[in-house]
Amino acid sequence: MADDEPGDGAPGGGAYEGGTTGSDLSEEPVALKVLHTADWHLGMRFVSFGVADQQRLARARLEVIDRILNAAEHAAVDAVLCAGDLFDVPRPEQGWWEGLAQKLARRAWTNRPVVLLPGNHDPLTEKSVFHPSHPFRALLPEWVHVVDRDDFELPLGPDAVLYARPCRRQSGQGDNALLLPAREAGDERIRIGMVHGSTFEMPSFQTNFPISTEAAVARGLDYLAIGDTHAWKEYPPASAPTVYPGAPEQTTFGESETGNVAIVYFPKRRGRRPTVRRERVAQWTWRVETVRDLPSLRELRDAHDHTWTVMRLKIEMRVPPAEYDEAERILVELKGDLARPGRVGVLEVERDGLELDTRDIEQVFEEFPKVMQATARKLKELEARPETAEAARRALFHLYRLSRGASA
Amino acid sequence: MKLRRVEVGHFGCVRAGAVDLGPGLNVLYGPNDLGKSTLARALRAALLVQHSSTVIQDFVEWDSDETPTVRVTFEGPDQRVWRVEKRFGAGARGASLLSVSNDGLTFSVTQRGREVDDELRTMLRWGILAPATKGAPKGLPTSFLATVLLGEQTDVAGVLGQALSADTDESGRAWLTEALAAYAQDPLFKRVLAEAQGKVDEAYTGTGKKKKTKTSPFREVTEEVKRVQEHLAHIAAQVHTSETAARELEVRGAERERRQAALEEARERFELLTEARARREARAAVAGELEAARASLRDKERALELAAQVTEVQGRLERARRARALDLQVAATGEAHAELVARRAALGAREAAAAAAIEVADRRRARLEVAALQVRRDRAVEALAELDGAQAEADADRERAAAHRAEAAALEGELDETLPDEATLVALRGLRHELDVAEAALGGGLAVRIERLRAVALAATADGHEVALADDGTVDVEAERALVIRVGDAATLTVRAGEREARAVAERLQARWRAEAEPVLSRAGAAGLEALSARVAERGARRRAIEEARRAAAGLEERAALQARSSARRDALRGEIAALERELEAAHPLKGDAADAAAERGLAELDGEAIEARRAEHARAREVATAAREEVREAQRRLDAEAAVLEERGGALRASLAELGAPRREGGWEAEERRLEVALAEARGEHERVVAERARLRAEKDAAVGDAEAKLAEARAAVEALEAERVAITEAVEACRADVDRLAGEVTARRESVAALDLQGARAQVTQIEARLEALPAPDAEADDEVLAAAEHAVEHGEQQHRLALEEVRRAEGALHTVGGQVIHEHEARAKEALELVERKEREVEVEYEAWRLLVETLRETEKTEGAHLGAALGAPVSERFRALTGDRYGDLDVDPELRATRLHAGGAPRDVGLLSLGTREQLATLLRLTVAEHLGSALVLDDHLTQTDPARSAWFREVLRAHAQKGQIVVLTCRPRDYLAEGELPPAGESHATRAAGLLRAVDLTTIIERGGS
Repeated sequence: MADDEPGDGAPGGGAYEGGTTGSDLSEEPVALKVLHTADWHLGMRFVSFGVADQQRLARARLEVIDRILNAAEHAAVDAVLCAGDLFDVPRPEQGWWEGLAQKLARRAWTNRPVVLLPGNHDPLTEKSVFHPSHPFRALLPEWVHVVDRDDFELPLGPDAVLYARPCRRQSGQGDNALLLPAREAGDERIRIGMVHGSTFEMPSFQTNFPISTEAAVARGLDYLAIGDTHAWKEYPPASAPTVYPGAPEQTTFGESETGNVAIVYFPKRRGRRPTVRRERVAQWTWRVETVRDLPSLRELRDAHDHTWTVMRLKIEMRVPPAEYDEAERILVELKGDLARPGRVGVLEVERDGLELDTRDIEQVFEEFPKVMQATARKLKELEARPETAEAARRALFHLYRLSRGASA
Repeated sequence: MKLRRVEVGHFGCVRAGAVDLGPGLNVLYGPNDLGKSTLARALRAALLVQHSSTVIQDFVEWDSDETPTVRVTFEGPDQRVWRVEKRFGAGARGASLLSVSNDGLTFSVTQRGREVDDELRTMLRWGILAPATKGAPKGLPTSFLATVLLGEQTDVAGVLGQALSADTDESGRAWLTEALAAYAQDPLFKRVLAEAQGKVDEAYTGTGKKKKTKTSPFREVTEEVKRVQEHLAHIAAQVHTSETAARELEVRGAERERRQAALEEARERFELLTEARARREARAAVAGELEAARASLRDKERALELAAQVTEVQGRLERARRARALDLQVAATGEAHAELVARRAALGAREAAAAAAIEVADRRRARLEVAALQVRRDRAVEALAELDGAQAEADADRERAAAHRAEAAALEGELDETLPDEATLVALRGLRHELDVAEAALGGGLAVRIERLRAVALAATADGHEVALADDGTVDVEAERALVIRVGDAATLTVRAGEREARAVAERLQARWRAEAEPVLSRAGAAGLEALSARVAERGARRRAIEEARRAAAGLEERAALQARSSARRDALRGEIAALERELEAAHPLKGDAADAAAERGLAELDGEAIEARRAEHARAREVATAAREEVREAQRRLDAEAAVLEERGGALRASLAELGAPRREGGWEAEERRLEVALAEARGEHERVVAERARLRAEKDAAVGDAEAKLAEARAAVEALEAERVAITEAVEACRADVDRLAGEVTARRESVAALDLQGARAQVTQIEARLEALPAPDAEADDEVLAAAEHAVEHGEQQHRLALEEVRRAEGALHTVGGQVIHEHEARAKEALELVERKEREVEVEYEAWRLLVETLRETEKTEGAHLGAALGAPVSERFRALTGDRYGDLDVDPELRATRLHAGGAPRDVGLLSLGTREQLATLLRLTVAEHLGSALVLDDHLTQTDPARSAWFREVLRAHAQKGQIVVLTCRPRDYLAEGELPPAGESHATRAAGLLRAVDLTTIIERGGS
């Protein structure tokens, strides 16, 4: 149990990213600190990317674990709660669970328990990675606990306790939070619950372990740590918040509020709301960019460091051959080629909207021999036909580029 | 390439033949059916056909089964001389060799077998794919250049219609392109086309299909699409299963809800019927309840009215009673005051007596204390005297102790320290005893006779004792255990008795005796153990005496030391005595009366215990006196309080009387009271009647009220009994008053109870019940038992159906739990996104390469329409020659990009070449072949190519060929040598060949060199 004043890693204790909700702890003695994370999805496959990018993104899911554990050490938390979907599938390949176990084992923690909860992606079954007979369990240090019982209870010191309940299948209609034990009269301890599932406003929550946002109050919890959705989300009431920390590394385009863990400060004074601080641990940023003119594309190339960016770049512009050529070269610069790495970490280009403006193509080819001019004219005629339009535009560009290159 | 020599054996109709060829025009002539075309065919076979090809059956000699062989020597593009030899046959019969020579004389083999053909095709560049390559032509391969340079005799249409695009290899096109320099006019076009073609070749086969090889750009993306599609299909199957389970769950859930609705409907009907019956019963009950409530209301209203009357009378009675009691109390207050004064006086006397007793007790105690002081002083004096005497004894003890210590020191100086200690002595005694036993075991008796033969000194010891020997004669010596005889210095004879073992034991013990005992005895100067023991005992006695003297000295010294410590005690005693003397001095003289004096007598004789007893006795006496005094004082305080209360009470009574303000009635308060009690009795009589009536009503509805009424009745009886007694015993009014008061209290309680009867509530209750009764619907169904039982059965059936439906729902839930639910939908979403992306990539790749292909096609089409192609380059010189041949009868020849001669302009219009006469076509074909050979610098073989040509045009061709001989090699196979040679150019008779024009014209008579087979 922490018994210190907010200092290192506490709100007000230094610069950090993310926000803080709850009581102002600047003058409040802290009774307990925990780090709450979820949805690591180790072993997730990014099949829409190239092989090298798939590897980078998949490995990033394991690499972020180190930053999570570092955050726990820096904030000197008393426990690390991992609220499910830590693996993407119930039986991940050996490298994933072995890698996780190695990262945990490298920490010389004895008074900081880490609790791993099976979620709907990695439910507790007879053959799953969390089952006591799985070799993963044998690799874990003794201070790492797996929630493999429905009545899981772990004291976090003399004045705090954790209750948790695992997912035992990939879907379910029961509210695991409401099955946690209720606070008994006279129990003044800090009570934390941990389950995995969907709160009622989520789509398809009915079959995905629905969680009532009133569960924390109903069961007399001071904090309900949950996992499933990949976005950060906090639910009232103030006295007993229910929190999704979200995925520590984003899993796909379109997700928001990802890349964080929650560091939760429980004040000594009973009745005060715990303070929840959002701390960013992600290295990768996922962005969808739409570029509609060449200056914007140039700016995108020059203005930012995209080394750790996964970018979906949508090109929507119709440009004459010279600009088209430059756009192509910038795209190569951003993406990289066999010889050189690109300026963007992982780039996916939607170039359907990149069109060659052929209105003045005759003028463009005036400087070339007549046979080339004639070829350009014929291609332009083909562009007018829907079945050959796209190929003809592209062929025109190649003709332009080759003519330029050859003549140069 | 230039041919140098052709050798043929057993090939077709030719059994043997060998022709050397010159660098220019070679006219090989002979009659028909000699084998000229066979010779040309052999040349094609050597250069183009694999030795094991299926077409070699055509090569076999007509009348023999010898293996056809051909050997061709030629000058290659590298200017070196090559020789290809082929023996056409399957298996071991066939063979191919390619040799090279730098001097044209000596050859070395460079390739064998199929590699010969690979090398040749590469060297020739005729547009024929190497045999080892997939897709290479089988049999006799054809290509544009093979047809043009080495075509068969009658293949005019082939020459004119052979398309370059039909080549299996690009080498022919490349060579022609280089040679004709068709693109030289536009290098940019050429480069663009080449690059675009390169891109197309990456992706498409020669027939325009997508390549599927590893290097194909489609392969990776296609495989990726396929992989993702398979992944998606796998997930889609799971999603299907999941959705099926979800739908099943939905259906089962709906069924469950439907059955639940049916169950609820049945329950509702059952409840409706039950309720209908209950309502009917309830209406009756409520109606009865309403009647009872109305009666209760009436009862309450009447009870309240009577209670008010009773209250008013009771109030008046109470005031009368209180006034009378106050009168009595005022009178009693005066009496009590007088009594208080008397009691106070008595208490004063008791207090004085107690004070005197305390004084006496104090005085006696003081005297007792003086006596105690005297006793203590006397005892201290005695103790001091005793201590003084003890001091004198201590001094004497010290002197005696000094004497004892001196005696001990003297004795200690006499102690013999050389003696062994007791333990050593005991050990030696033990050793002696063991030695004695061992020696005794040796005892057997020894007897020796010594006869002295000459004078020699003899000595002997028997059992350790010296034996006296006579100086001469015979001596007998006896011993028990050992006998030692020493014969001068010559010998010592030792004789021992006993067995060997016993002797060894004895000797060992003797050795120990000598080592352990004898040194001790020697140090002590003792003769033996007995003497040593006596001396040790004596030393022990002396030591005990020393010890005794020292102990006595220590005892005396200790006692003296104790006495010395008592000197402090003596000083303390002296101080104590002085202090006691002072206290005694201060205590005298004490005053006292005679009784005290008498009581003091004998104090001096009291000991300490008696003094303590007396002291305790005095203390107790004083305590008793003090307690008595305190008791008196407490009584006085109580008396004072009582007096104050009395005074206050008197004042209060007077005030109360004044408050009551009632004038004293005639006959006093007693009469007033009696009058009022009569009125009260009357009121109670009426009250009793009303209460009885109310009790009857209440008993029906409210047990609690009934109970209260019973108690009221009981109280009323008590009041009646009391009043009867009051009438009978007027003296006991005071006693009765208490009962009356109690009963009045109860009446008050009952009155309060009656007041609590919440008249408004009762009225509201009546109204409410009326409303309920009004609101109760009339039963809408006649719910007899049969209908009710049927409804109940329907409920049970509904419950069973609902249970079954619920089980189905659970099963469906279980199925859904095992197939994924939301998880599988997430996987599907990811897979769909991935598929969308890879399909986009695939589309982009397809569009990209489609664009390249479109570009190439468009370039070629433009090339064709714009005339900048190979055909145009070739057509021009051919047209020019043809115009010369025909005297400008014909215009340009159209040769398409694939080098097909398509149209010939004549009469101002293009005409299809196929429509020309055979002679014209063969002339056109010859010119085209000649032009190609000229551009390529290659040998040209013409086999009777102008059979349909008139002499004038033949002559024209002769000149053209002769002119060509200056630049390249031509081999003409003809049966009409005169068309090419002048008379003088033919070989002389008997000669096979003739060479003219510096070797550029060579005429060969094939009849002299070809040996036909089968003739």
